[in-house]
Amino acid sequence: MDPFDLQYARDIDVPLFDRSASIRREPSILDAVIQPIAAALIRTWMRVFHRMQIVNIENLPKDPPYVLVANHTSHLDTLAMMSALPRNARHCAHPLAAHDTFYTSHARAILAAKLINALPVRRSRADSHALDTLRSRLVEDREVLIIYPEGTRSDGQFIRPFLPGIGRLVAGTTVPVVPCRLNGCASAMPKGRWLPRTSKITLQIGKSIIFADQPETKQASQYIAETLHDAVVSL
Amino acid sequence: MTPTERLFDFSHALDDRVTVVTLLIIGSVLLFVPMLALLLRMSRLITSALSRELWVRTASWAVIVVLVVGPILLGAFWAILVIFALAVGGYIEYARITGLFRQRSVSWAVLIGITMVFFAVLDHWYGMFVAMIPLGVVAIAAIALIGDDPRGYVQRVALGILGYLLFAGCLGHLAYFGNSTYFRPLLLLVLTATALNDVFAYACGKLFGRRKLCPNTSPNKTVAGAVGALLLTTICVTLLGRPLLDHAPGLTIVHLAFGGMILSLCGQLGDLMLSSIKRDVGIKDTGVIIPGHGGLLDRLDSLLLTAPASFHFVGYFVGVGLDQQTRLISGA
Repeated sequence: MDPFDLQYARDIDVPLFDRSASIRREPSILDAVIQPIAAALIRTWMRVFHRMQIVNIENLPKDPPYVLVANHTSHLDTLAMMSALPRNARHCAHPLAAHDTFYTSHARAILAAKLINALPVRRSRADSHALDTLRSRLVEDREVLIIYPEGTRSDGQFIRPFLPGIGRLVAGTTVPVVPCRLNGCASAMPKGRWLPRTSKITLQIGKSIIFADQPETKQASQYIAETLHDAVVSL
Repeated sequence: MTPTERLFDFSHALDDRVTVVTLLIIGSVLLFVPMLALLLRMSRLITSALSRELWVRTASWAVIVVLVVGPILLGAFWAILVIFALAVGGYIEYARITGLFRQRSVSWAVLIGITMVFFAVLDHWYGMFVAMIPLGVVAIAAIALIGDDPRGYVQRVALGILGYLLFAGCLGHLAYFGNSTYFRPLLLLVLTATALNDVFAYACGKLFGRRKLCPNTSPNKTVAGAVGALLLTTICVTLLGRPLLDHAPGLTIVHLAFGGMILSLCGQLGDLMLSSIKRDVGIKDTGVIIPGHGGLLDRLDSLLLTAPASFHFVGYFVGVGLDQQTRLISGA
């Protein structure tokens, strides 16, 4: 965003108690204290209990904005992705979390919003309004989004096809998309398990891709989704 | 009056005539407006939407009155505490509408500054209270250097200092009335007159308003509304504050009328100030926290400018809390 521009909070008209479940949520003054502490605890946890290893961290773009896309097998994925973020991306990174899983109860919504700064996405329908908001968060607010384009957690055997929403989000923008491959999360904490085992987790970071030349069409979105899928699979 | 009595004792809350009369006026306005709305609605003079809006607005006013007047009656400590809460809430809203909330270190500097100013108020340490204003500016200008990013430096420092002066400086002056023996009548008089000033401007504008005051800033303000509010608020302050003159030898009713005019003028300017800020930023309401009113700032706007003006008016002619023990906490 232009530094000499008065841009009021995007969630100015959202009532206080609905803000955690709003995709337009802006950080509150308390988040500036809570989130760095939570992030430091998460990083320590991943390093100590999962001996987390990050391969090719130099592939991450130097400055936000960018999008991290990864395969999804476990709730640990988000913690692993967050602990890979460099200092300049930590305060503006948002994992996208399923509305039906994380935002149906107030308590869980507040935890997801306050601790890991997650934004809700509704996977039941294609919401072009939400996509526009996410796009402006990337392009204007220069934020970092963590996205699992599979749309749900898989069993870890193979990577599901990517949904085209990721394509609609980045088509025609200069925002780099970084393919990431997570290994070990499925065995550490598979679907249905509520406490993780202490097993090793590796995160491989691929070369970022820019889709500035793609039009905002269905075919292009499909193409982007497939390109990213192949990039993650080949890591 | 000992500090403990002033801060916590509510057994003599209703001893002062100004306090009682002001409370009666507030109570009767809060009863009168919904009755009037009901009457006008039943005689089909106003639409049901307007009637409902009047009800919601009055209900919100009633809640505000309980939350603000209650602590003032309980004691100066609670009055200072509730004004502190208003300052913090007001600053957070201000930061959200101006985009300053994205500058976390500046925002934290302002919030810490507000806390220190209100400590000085509670402590009755005028030296620290005065010193905190320039020192806060120093702290904000220094903290905005963090990150070694000169782009937007002027903007974040200027926004931070404006917020600091409005919420620590101006609202701090309102809280400083708490150190006076007569904090109940003084605070209630300033708050009531400021609120009535808005109502007078609105009512006079609706009844007689033709020529616009400043259509670019606030299209609904009229010259008649401004003049009417100036007259009515001056009369109101003169009548309400009349018994206070007994405690201020040498002051006459002319002084009081002059004070009422200053208060009315500053209240209207505060209103226009917030209108300008909202226009500049491009929003209609500053928030959604008070039903029928909008944000906290939509209600605080006039008070931000009437507080320091009336404080220094009283301070110049009489003095605020000169007979009270100073440095209650830091001096012990």
